[in-house]
Amino acid sequence: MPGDDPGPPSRRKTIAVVEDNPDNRLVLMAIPEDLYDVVTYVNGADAVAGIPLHVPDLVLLDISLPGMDGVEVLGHLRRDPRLRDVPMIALTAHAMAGDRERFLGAGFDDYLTKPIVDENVILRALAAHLAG
Amino acid sequence: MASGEDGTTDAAIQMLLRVGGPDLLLKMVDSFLKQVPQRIEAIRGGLAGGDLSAVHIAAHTLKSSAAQLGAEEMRGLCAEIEARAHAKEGDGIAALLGKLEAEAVGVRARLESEVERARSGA
Repeated sequence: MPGDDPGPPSRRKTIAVVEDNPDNRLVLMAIPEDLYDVVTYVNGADAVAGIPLHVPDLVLLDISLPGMDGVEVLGHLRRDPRLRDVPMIALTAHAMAGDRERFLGAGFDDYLTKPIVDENVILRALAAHLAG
Repeated sequence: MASGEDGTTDAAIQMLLRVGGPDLLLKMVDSFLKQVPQRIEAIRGGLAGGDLSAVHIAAHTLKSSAAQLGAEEMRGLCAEIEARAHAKEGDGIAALLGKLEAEAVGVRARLESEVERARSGA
């Protein structure tokens, strides 16, 4: 009967984590993995090559990457029309005045600081930017 | 954030236990303790060879990992080494490296003890 069709199962959303530090990567994979699929990239070049091929629902992007830094990676990704509206959150150990404005001005949707000592800060940011 | 006498803080450890239980803490500590001697050796080698860029990279990576495990004194020493290497000021890095090595001994003991405590469910 038409009314009995539950429709397609809702798709789990995918988070791309771009982080060169293996310890930080472990944490950033562990926090969201119960709720989201997590794909990791270990440097900027890896992310610029891989993310357009597997467009995620959100990107967590470390700023202090070796070689191509996070702001540069963001610029590359934003030039791709498929990634223009994907939320991108900067992760940084810099805690300096003006950082928030600088990163939001560069085109990030949000800004979170490391080390991560409260998993709920990450989960709230993911939920907020993935809503709708 | 509570700080232990050995320069580590509890909040980071507690978060790891909440998120992934003893398994995640063990994985993190294991990864960290393997990389500490490698990063210290990279700092020493870079300093000996006049390669302050290598010193900067190794100190930056270790700083980030130490911060994520709440090893605050170690994070601070790495930040000082990183800043001096970035500014091409090699003077004083050797002394900081000595302090870093000493600090690493205490951090290792503390983290191993945290893992044991988590495993035993204490």
